Amino acid sequence: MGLTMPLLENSLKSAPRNSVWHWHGTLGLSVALLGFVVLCGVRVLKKRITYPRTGFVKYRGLAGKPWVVSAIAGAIAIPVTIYSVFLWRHLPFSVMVAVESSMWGLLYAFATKLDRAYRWVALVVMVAGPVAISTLPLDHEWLGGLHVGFLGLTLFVSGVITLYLYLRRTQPAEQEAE
Amino acid sequence: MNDQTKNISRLDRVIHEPARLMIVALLSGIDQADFVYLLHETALNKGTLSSHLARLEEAGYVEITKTYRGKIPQTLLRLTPAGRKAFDQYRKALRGALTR
Repeated sequence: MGLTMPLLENSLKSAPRNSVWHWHGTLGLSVALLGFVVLCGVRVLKKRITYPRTGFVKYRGLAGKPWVVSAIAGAIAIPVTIYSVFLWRHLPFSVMVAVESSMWGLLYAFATKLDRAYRWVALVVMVAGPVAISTLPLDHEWLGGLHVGFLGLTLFVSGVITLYLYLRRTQPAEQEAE
Repeated sequence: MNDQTKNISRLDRVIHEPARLMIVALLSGIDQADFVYLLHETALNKGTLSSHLARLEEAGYVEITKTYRGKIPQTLLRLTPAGRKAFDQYRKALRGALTR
């Protein structure tokens, strides 16, 4: 999704004032459409690759633990909201990007547990790359899209490596026995 | 016979067998899984896994549903409420047996 941000930024900049790219809902619709594509893609990947190799598993719901989920969501949402509302306009662009990429880095570390060397590399690239980009002599509109695109690219590469290692490690199971 | 020894003698023998303990422990943390998932996670062979699942089904601890994923046969497995209860009791008994 991050990869499409520079494309959207580019469309915004090059499109005429009255084009659909300047409509406020375009970004939201694009993100929703991409989310749908990603969800469908994940479903197909699971069906074609994961289930035949390592099987199907349905985890238990979060019944009994909604307060934990709410607490975690609140703990993340509150600083994000404060950051968005108060700091967005006051901090230098590079600091803002550093905070944002660090938050993505934390999320990545939490999700992957950094259990492989390449994930540490991805983490460093994910945090340092956008900061380096933010110092480039380009206008903020471009830099905004570019640093999100870079984050997306890092996540994409990390995902491709993970998929490659998974495919190398596992083989599709033969017909089930019973 | 002291309490510790009593606790050991009370352990559920259906669950206590290591392979079945692995299966029940895996299923206790999830809602449902298929045969391939258990095969991968337990590293048992198909025949051994099948026979242990049959034993657990016979005890009423595991529910086995045969279905299809597209044209491929799929065996779905889940722990029954009785299986969940038995595993909880087993854990308590084992804890009691090992605590000095």
